[in-house]
Amino acid sequence: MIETLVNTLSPRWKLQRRGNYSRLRGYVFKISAVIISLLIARWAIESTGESAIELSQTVLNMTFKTAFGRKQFLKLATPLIINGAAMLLALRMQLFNFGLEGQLFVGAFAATAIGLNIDGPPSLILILMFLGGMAGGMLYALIPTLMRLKNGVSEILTTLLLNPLAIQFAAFIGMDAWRDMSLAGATANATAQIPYELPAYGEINGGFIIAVLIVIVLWLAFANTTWGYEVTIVGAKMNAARYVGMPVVRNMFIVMLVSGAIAGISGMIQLAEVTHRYSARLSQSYGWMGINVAILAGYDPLAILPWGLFLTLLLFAGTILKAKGMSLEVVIALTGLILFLTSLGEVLANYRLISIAKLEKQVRNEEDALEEERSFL
Amino acid sequence: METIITGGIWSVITVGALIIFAGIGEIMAERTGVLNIGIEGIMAMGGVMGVLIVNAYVPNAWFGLLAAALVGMILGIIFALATVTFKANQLLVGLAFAFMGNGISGLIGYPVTSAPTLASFPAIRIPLLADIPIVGEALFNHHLLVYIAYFVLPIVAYRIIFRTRHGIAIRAVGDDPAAADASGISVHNIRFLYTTFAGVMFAIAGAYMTLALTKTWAEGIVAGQGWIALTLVFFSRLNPITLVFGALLFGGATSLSFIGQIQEWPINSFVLGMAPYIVTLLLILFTNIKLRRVKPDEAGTIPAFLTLPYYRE
Repeated sequence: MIETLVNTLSPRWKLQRRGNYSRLRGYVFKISAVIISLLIARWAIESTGESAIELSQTVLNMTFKTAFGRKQFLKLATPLIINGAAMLLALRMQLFNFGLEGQLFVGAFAATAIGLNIDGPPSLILILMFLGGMAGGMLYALIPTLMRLKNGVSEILTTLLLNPLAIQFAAFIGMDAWRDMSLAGATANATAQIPYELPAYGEINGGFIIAVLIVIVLWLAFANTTWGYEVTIVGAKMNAARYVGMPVVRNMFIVMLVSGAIAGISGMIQLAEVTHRYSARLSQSYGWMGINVAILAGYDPLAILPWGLFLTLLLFAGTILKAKGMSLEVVIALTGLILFLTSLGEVLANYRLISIAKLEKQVRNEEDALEEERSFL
Repeated sequence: METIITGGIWSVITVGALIIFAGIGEIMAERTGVLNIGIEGIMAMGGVMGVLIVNAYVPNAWFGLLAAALVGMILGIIFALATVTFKANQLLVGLAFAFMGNGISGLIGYPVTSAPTLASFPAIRIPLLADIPIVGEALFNHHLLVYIAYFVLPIVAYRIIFRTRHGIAIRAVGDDPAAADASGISVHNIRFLYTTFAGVMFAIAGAYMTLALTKTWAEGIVAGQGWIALTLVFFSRLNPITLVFGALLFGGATSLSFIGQIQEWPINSFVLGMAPYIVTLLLILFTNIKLRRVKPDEAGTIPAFLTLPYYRE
């Protein structure tokens, strides 16, 4: 549509559509989208009378200049990066695992069960909690996977349905079944404190290290292993993969379950590092933010890290804004705007503007080359 | 006991109307092959718009509805431009709309947060039918919008999709856009039209929520209703009539859970809260097991080209 519009309107320029584009081009367009969104956000903030520069200075200072800020920043970045990895894995297979939120809660529940009821040396229990988190998330992802593979039910539907179910269950555990009656006020409606905590290394929390490791493992798997290659092919051209003999169904199964397991890990880390108690407040839409990160990162696992950190900064800015009396909505709207402009950028990256004069020159060159070939014969 | 049943049925129907408004819009869009995940965002914008107009300008609920519909149309047009004209990734844009809609509506809704809506829709009581004991009051004493949602929208949508030539064009665009294009149907225009229509419906649903259901606006008041509508649209396999039943079922289960909590049934209130989702999930499981043995008929399948943009190569 835009092609025909531009091509008919301008006599000197032509819009050409190419099927793919280089990685660099993709980055340029994505980052331009972010810059434009930030400019729009700045305009919106300035129109309410606040100074955008001051605001961003405050945010950056509070985040990076204080030890507390840095620690909180990394703690917030952890679930975003992990859930981003989980979603990216699923997206590579064209599987839309929108159930990360639910898998997070179920994984954390398994970890809670272990942490509250089993005694032993902390490192052992933490490992058990980690495995429990993986198992919980994996089992919860099993339901939509089976329904998709056996009955053809879209996983979009089932995962969306399972999310609020898991959150209700978490509320049940926190407010009823395993409630710690000694809590009151804002911290009420949660379970007893889990006595095990993930170790931190200086300012970097253990969970962040796990997050980075997961991303690296994912990247290595996609770049260097047969399985990673299979997953990419099956996701891109399922029928071709089937024709060549790649195990499509088995791979879908594995990918969904691993995606759920990773989300479960993020739940366990939230439990062991941030809240130390299980309740419905465990996750502040970290699953959805992870989906955001994965979408922005495209198909590249390593890109999860920069995009995850960037979105974390945005969310952080939101909480700081909230403390200053401004609303969190600016940040949420900004996230949406970034997504929107990025998706447009993705499309635009396919096109290139080329002047008709240059095209004609190209054609003439090709004709000349053909002439030369023919004259040799 | 009677009043509880009556009240329960009444609330199921009023809440169900919300799902039906949003769902019918989404069904029409998905039939043409466009998946709009941003239902929540547009609902929020419609909702805030309705309350703003009513509280700040004209205390007439229909005006608020109209304003919301206009906003929905603009948002629908933007979405259509992005996904149908520019062919951006529908899931991305939809998610973006969900976020943006929630954020922007929260921002502009500041002046009217938690204030009661000044105008609402009058209830229309159908005299003879409403006198039926127990169910009469529940079924036939509603706003005009509710009657439209149950008696007009699904039937009209069903007839359009399955009984008209235009409906064939709609389904063709969703199932095989190349063939539709070859036979002269404008894939772009039909997708654009129904995507915009879906935007209007979402905003109307949002305005219905804030003007008639909750009678107030607060940030986050949409509270997942958009996602539930999306889920039920999938569940209904894009059949408007099935959507109504799905909405009633889900609303019924939710309502039962509330009644159970109030009546202090021996079942745990949280378990009751999980009931609607479990029931819907089980139903999906069973209906899909059945359908495997039945030849997919005209109202059974999901368009093959859902979410895929169409390029005329």
